[in-house]
Amino acid sequence: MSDLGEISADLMEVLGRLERVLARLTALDRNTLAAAQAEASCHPEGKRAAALIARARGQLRQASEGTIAARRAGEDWLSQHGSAQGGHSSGFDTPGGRAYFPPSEAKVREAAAALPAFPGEYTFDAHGSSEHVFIGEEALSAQDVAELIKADEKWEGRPVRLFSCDTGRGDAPIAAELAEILGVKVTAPEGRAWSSADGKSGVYPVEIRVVQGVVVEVPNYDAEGSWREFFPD
Amino acid sequence: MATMRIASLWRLNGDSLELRPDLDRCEDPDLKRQILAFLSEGGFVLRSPGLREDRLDPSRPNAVPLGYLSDGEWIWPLETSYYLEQHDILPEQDLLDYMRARGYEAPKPDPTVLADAARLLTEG
Repeated sequence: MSDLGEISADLMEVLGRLERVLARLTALDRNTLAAAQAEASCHPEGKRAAALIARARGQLRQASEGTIAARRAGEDWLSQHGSAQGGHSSGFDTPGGRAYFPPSEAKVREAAAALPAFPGEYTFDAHGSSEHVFIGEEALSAQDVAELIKADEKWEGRPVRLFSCDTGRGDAPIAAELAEILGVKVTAPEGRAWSSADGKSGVYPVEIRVVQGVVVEVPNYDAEGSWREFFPD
Repeated sequence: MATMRIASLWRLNGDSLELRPDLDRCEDPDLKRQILAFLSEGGFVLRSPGLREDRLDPSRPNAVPLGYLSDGEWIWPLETSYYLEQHDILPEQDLLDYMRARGYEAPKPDPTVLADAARLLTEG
């Protein structure tokens, strides 16, 4: 997260500086170089200087086009990976708190936006494992998640519900560390979390079923997994 | 409940899953883009917020999404896009024909249809 923020900020700063330098060079080109080139080309010894000026102007044009391309590439990158401005650009408000899925997962975002709140708790919704939370290809630590939650004014110090698979599984899961950092109770799945268009949600193991002769992988509602609670020391 | 078709990339081999042998590979980037556009539309049926191992490339342990989308006529797993994008694996022929006939556009169905799809997958 913090690496991402630094890279985004650096990228924008460098592009901004490059654009300012090019603007100055362009002004110089218009006001000075053209006149100097015309004057130099009148003298035999000035021909070489005139050729150099022509070459410089060509390179200026290329640099200017390069800056535009770089800015576009930077914007594309940011739209996919996040932004330097507070929080995370993949984050969006949900009934219970905030969810983090990149724009490329549009339907997952819609699903997250439909998840009802857990009463009295702040819901953090993202892909998870026992050690990390994932946003796109970024792997976030407990510290990163804590920063995102602290940055959300809707948190208000409430207990946290991690709607992220496996974040409460094992001896030292990410949820335990998050409870320590935030100083509040964190409730997290010991297995797979699910939400469904028929309104069901919870922690259930994956079951391989055959429906209409087709293999599907779905929650097994008969074998409920568990939510696990973690408290700060 | 209206009848809906379910797409899958896998078949059972004993207790484990293996890639269906009837699935073709995609060699046309334009077609790939159109299919991916269809597969990213529709509405959500089920989702689980965690990523799983790529069954064809175990060096990618947290890569594949788990869940289902539907346009009301077909139900397809979220992973269909992943395996097409990463491994060029095409969905089954019936679904390919269906997408083409609809101009690679998947409408978002009514919520009751999506709830029916969820029940079909978990109870059907």
